[in-house]
Amino acid sequence: MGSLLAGAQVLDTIARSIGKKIGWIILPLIAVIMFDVITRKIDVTRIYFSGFTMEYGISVSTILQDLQWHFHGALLMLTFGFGYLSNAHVRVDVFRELFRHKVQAWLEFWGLIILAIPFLILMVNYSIDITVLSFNQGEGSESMTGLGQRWFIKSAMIVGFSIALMAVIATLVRLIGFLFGSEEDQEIARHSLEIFADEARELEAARLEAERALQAEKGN
Amino acid sequence: MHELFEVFYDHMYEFVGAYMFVALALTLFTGFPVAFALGGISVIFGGFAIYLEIFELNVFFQVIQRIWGGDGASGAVQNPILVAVPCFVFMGTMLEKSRVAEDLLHILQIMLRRVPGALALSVTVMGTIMAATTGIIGASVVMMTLLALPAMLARGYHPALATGTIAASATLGILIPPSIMLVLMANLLAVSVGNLFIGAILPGMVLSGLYFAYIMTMCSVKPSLAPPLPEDAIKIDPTQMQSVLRYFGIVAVIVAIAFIGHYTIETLNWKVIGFLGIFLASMIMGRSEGNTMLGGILRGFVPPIFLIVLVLGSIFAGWATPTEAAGVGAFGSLTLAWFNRTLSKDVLEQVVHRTALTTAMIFFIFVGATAFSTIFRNVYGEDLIIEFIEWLELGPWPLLFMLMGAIFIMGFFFDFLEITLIILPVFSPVIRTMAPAFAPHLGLELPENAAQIQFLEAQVIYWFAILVATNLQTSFLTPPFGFALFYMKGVAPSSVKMQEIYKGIIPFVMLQLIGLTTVVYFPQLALWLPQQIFGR
Repeated sequence: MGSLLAGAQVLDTIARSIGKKIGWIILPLIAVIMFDVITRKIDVTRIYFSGFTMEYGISVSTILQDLQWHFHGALLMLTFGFGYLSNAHVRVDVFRELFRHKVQAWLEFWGLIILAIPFLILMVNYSIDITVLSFNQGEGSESMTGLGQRWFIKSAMIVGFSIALMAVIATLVRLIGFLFGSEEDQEIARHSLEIFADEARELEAARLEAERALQAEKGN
Repeated sequence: MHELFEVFYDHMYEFVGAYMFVALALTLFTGFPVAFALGGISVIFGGFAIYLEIFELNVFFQVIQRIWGGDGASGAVQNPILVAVPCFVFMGTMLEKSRVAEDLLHILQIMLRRVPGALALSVTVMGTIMAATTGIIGASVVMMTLLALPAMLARGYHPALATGTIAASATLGILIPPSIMLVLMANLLAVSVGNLFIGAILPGMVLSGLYFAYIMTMCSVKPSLAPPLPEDAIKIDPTQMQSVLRYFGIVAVIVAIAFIGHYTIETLNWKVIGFLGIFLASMIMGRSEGNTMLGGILRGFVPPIFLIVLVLGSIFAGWATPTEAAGVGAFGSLTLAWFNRTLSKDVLEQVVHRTALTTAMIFFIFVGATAFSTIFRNVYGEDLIIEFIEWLELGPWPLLFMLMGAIFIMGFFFDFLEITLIILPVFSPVIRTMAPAFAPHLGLELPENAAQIQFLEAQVIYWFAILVATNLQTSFLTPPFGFALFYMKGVAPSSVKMQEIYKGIIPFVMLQLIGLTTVVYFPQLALWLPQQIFGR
């Protein structure tokens, strides 16, 4: 069990670090939009760049616009696993909060096996298909002057769903550790699981902060 | 035995869509992540439908193609419209973490100090301006409560009034642009984001105007509800008349330069240059001004106003698509943080991580909902719903009220993401078919050709989208289920009782209903401004 949990930790680290790193792509995304808006909407640069297009036959603006959703696509696809591990995905917690941690873990365990894993495997499978198809067709941008090599960004779906699957498997292993493992394993697994509805505890921390702020305001 | 199977088979063939919905609802209530529940249910029922020979396994290729998007389809990846979502999330998170929101609240209450209920009004203004670009209702309610409630209670505000104001103002953001919900709605309903944004402005203003009127009336009638800010609590130096004059002098010079430039050098966009010039001058002057009223306004009030005007104005004026405006807004929020000297590496990292997580959260549900709705459509679920509605034989108005009622009740349990992404695609064809019936109410003639039908449908959809947004906000606030109230109770100091929160929110729910009724009866409120701006 110990080595399995260590393996889960490896998967977790990979999924998290990819998600964290890809998050920074928002900055180039903003930069590209700014550059595109300035060069296209401000007359001087627009005229300058249209001369550029006439001379070299590439449209800077079209490439930048393609680049925008390429960045966006990479950002959203590659953060799914990170999101699941950090428990950032939306849950309907109306009843779940009432259950004990063991019950929550059982629900999550069966949910992952019945719902999440088949879905993710199918998605990985078909995103491989769609990427291979795109590669074989030599699919490029819809406009002649845009970014080519569409298969490259389509492969982000394969990677993204695979990372999500890794995150799910890591969680599943930990759940098994938590539900069936020795006392020591349970402790390790519970420590690394972030799935539990501990909203009450988080909100309590925030509430204490508000209480302190209230005291401070009164002191003023 | 064989006959029994055939009955079962026929029944399932017809109603598999309905069972799919029931199964989804049951799974969601276990608290399993919504995105996985959607995806998993679509795989299970997809498998079942393959067994019933409704379609074959390659239907999941269609799913992945829809997730991808392209060709003007409303997919998640190849979709220039949705690029606005991470940018708006970034902008909202940055404004929150770089203390721009805090500074705004501080200066607003000083500016409004002579008006009854100044702090409550400041919260409303802040909610109107900052809106909930952070993505989820729970997060904005928690943020606003932590920011404003301790100060309000310490000032001696009545807890009911304080909590009511905060909850209502914090949820106002789902309606007032730039709102992520409107971007998602426009994308799913295949209408223009810019148009929907502009359309939401007047209804949003009506609501915040109603809040304003209510707070001011209550606080004038019963001043004990909201004690004014004591004069000695305002630690602020008197403003030199000289610097006010200097500021307006500089603004006048910039306007003059832009005006002259407009008529001499035509290759530059002087309106934008003038606007940015005033923005920059205000920020630079605000930094050199000391702790005075003028300095506070220039540092705390003017920058966020300029930012919102920049984002909405560039859509208004047609300079930028909503996506570009979102990018510009995100860049603007970075600039503001830098000017405020709160842009550290730590803050940037926090904002980037939060943005990544929120984007993942929104789009994972998007992916799951796409899988669900593709399978649902392929098992003829949409036909089932349309048949059901035809069987009810309701007129257009009862039908609209029924849909609104359903959305209202769903708002008790689900955040706007689930409702927008799962329910709206199901409801929108119903509303589209009803469009001609609403034509006279919208002041339009009955359509005669395809272009007119399309125009009419789009108008009805804009109106419907605004109604749904207002309705959902009301639902989030309505006791005893409204979940904005639970988040608020969770972070409120323990001296605030749940009864007080309930008591405080009821007048605001009334105001919401008044606002909602106004938009129902005067659809022009949502439609007039976009028609003026984008033409017919």
